[in-house]
Amino acid sequence: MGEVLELRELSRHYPAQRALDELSLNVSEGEFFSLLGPSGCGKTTTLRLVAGLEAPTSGRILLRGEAIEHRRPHDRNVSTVFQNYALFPHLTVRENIEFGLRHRHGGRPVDADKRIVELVEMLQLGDKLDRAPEQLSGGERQRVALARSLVLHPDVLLLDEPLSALDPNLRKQVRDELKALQRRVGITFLFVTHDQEEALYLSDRIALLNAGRLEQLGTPQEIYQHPCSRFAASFLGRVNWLNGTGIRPEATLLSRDQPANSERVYDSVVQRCVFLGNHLHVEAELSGGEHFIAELPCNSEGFQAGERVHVWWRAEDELLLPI
Amino acid sequence: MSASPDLEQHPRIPGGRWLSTYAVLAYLFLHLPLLILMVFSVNASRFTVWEGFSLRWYAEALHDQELMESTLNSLIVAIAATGFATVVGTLCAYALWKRASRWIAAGLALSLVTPEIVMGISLLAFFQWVFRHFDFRLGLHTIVLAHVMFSVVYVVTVVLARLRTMDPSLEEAALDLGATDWQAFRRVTLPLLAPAIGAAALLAFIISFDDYVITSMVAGVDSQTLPMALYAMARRGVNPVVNAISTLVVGLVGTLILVSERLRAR
Repeated sequence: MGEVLELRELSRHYPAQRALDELSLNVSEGEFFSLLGPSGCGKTTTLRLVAGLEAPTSGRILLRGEAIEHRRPHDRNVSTVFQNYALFPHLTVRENIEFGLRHRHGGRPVDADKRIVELVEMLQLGDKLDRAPEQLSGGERQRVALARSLVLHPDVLLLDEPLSALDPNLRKQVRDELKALQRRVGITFLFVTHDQEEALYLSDRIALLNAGRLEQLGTPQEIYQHPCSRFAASFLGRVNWLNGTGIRPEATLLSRDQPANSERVYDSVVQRCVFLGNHLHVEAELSGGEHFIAELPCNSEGFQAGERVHVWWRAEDELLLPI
Repeated sequence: MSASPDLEQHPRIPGGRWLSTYAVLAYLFLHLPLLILMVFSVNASRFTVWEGFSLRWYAEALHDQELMESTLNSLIVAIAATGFATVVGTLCAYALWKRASRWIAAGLALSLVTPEIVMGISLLAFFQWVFRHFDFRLGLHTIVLAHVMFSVVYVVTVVLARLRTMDPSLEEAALDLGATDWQAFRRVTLPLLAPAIGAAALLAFIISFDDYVITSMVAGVDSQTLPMALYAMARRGVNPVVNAISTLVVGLVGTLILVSERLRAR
């Protein structure tokens, strides 16, 4: 599979801030690629630069090998699903979906009607076509926004935190639908999120950004298991820290007896033990004062607060950070 | 007194009855003179004694050549000025929305607070200076120019207020979906602004139709507007025709204001 999008040392500087600083990355055809990071890390700026809604200070954006950084937004074959969906309130669902086809460079494609029928069916919008956006639920609005962009067959679909406007119960369901949709249409997704769980769940690869710079790039597994920095380790999930060594809570073990086969054993006192359904959450304090969290299988026996235990882990489960 | 259902939801205000009385008196103070004007406009007598209902003053008003000509002038001026002011004001509001500038906004506010008489005098001075270099005279066109000048700021204010409630990502979405800047404005921003632009146009129309002070400074000898004609008639002595035509003007302006408010709330 070839590259569809390439960013080369892309920067966007404001007088007071470097929103994005020399970001370079490649996105492959058909990939679900996430830009992950805390607010202000430059992920939305990157999306807006690719869409053409902002101009880069320096650097290049190549779409299928062609430089597009100086083109106007309407002259780039990418499309954005906005955070609040930005559906046109004065148009019906059908008119919203047809908006891009009407204005597209080179006129309405010959298979426009077929595209619409397919997408409407795929996104289950058949009985909503004559509604106004304000009559739709959050999930339906999101599907209209997706249809409106996908009908243009963009080279890359840009998604700006499309799940954040939904209520939490719906989010997981829509997340599954989004993943299935991407597999089905085979279009490259560039997905912006600050939610590490979402990024891990959805992405083929993740670019973790921090303060306008690329922190780490890799598959979810690579970043989770082999973070390149303390920031990367902590952003992707909880970490227990001891003298610069990180251990994930699910790799942290507890036992009353001295475990035989590990050198990493520390005397500790249990502070709290809570049953959370899918796991047992235990907080313990090591003799050196470090606060550790262990996530044990839910069928483990419980611990009492104040109980003396051994906290231990396997050497191969330690997160190896380059020093 | 029975309170309306939605008033009942509010806690009782101490001294509520006094407050109601005060409100009624305040409203009378505001509108009693207008009410009297309307009553005497349908009075059969020429004097301020009630003699019975009659529409004779309305008939006389409609047959008064001078009044009808000045009404026509007022309408021409108001329509022309509204057209220009609405286009210029809307574009100006759009520009201010895209790129907020405190100085330009302050400059506009200045034209809102300049006393009318000062604006009138300055316009007269300006036109006289221009006349030295170009061959044209005072007339309806100078009135139109003056009216555009002072009503633009009202259009800007109304349209900008609506723009500020608009989601900027709508226009971005249009561009993103392949529309050019003009198409995005034409197909998305403009339709969403239409009610506010309509409200602004009506407001500009009313302000232009009503104006006396500035108009009287910049009008030519043969370009009398309705307010000028009414002023002249009222000064000549009691004339119930003035009451009749004034009532019609109040009716027209009142209707326009109601429509304008409706549009603005949409």
